[in-house]
Amino acid sequence: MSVHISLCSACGHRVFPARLWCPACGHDRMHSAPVQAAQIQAWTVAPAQGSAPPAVVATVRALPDGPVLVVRLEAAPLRIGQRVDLFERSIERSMQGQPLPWGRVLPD
Amino acid sequence: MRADPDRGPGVVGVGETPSLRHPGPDCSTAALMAQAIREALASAGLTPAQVDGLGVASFTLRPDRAIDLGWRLGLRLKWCMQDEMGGAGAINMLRHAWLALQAGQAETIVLVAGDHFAEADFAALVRGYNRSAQDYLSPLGCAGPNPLFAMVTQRQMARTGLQREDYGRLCVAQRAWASANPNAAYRQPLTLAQYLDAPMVAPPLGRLDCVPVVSGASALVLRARPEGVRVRLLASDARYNWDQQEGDGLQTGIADFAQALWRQSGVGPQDMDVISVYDDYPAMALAQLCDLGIANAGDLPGFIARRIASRALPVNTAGGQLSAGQAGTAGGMHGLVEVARQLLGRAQGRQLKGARFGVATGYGMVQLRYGMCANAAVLAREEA
Repeated sequence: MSVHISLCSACGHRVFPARLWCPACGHDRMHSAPVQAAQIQAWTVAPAQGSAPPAVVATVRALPDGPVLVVRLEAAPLRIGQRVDLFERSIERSMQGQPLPWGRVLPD
Repeated sequence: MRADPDRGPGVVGVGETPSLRHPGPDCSTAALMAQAIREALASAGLTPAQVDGLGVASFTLRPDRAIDLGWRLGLRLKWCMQDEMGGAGAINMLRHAWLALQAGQAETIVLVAGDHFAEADFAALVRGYNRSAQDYLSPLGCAGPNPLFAMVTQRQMARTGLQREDYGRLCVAQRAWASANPNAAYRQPLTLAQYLDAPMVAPPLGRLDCVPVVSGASALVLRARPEGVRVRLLASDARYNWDQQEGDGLQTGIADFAQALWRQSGVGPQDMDVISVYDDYPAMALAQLCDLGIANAGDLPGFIARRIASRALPVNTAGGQLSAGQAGTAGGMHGLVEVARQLLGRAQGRQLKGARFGVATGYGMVQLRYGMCANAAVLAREEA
């Protein structure tokens, strides 16, 4: 279980999703790195879209070094600061076949 | 950027169509823009033949572009630009146009922003707004700006102690301002109970925290050497992608330049007779008021109660987008047009007496988590 973020090969700056150039140092090479643990900064329930049901989405910070990601949650959290486990799930039409970041809220 | 203090360009005319919630089958983006431009030229006593510069911002003018609109209007141009900065587009164009007029590239520039949406057009626009929205956020289930700004609002509430009632008081106040704007989409009084009873869209955002999508257009006319009453740009600044989307979204790029902006303008927040902040959501209107130094993030509930709800502070005096409606990119020009209109003394039933100084902000282009672009313009009335 993890989500693959992008790590700058020159300075180690972490982003998701990948950029063309590193926003911290301008380098153009990066590699993938897994993150698993994260902490909730904010969440909401996005309204249903067509046939898609309402979606719990959250802004989370990967622990311990980031980055901040917007992820889909399986169920709504109870409070800001709760821990989540990140995992990838492939959905049709997503990121040109790339999996999307999901999270599972961990019990307190 | 500091304008020439002696003799420089000026805004001389403004125009705005009604915000149409249910536009007819003949409605088009170009026709709305033409209507706004005609009104702006008429208000300045100018004819189309005098226009030699055109700036256009729109999502829905396609497949036409700025010069196609110029052709359809029969304009002969020396200066033409197209803007795609959304809610920051109007002030972005203003800054470009001002420099062009100072440099002698044109004599009379019209800036116009407008969009005409059918329901499906807007959903398609936000779903594929940029690559992040198209390939990541929308497939994730986070389509459009509402869920993102719900999360920004939740963080602002946690940070500042704001409650839904506080945001509601801001929305109620803007509706009261809108009652004197015949072009506003919503003019009937709003109560706090109605605000709180409105259906949830994306908690904590309810229906009345989200701008109504309308069709419409707004326009400004600027001249290089105006005579009579005009509005001068005292100072302006902008930050585009200032924090790489790595902040918390509770501050905009305006916070990064506000002190210098006031210093360059020679006036301060306390001197403003009219204020327009980009209100795609109440939380962002408040964030920009804090960034400008007009409100203090340490006591936003008190600020709303004392200054906003009472309407002691003239903020978004045409109703803002929350009540007047968001006609796509015209939403970014609505506030600028209102400040210019007040300073020109042409706000009729809602005219603020003796308005001399005003500030307008722009904000927009949502990327991963919030808007990337923010700008502001400090304006002053001049005569003779």
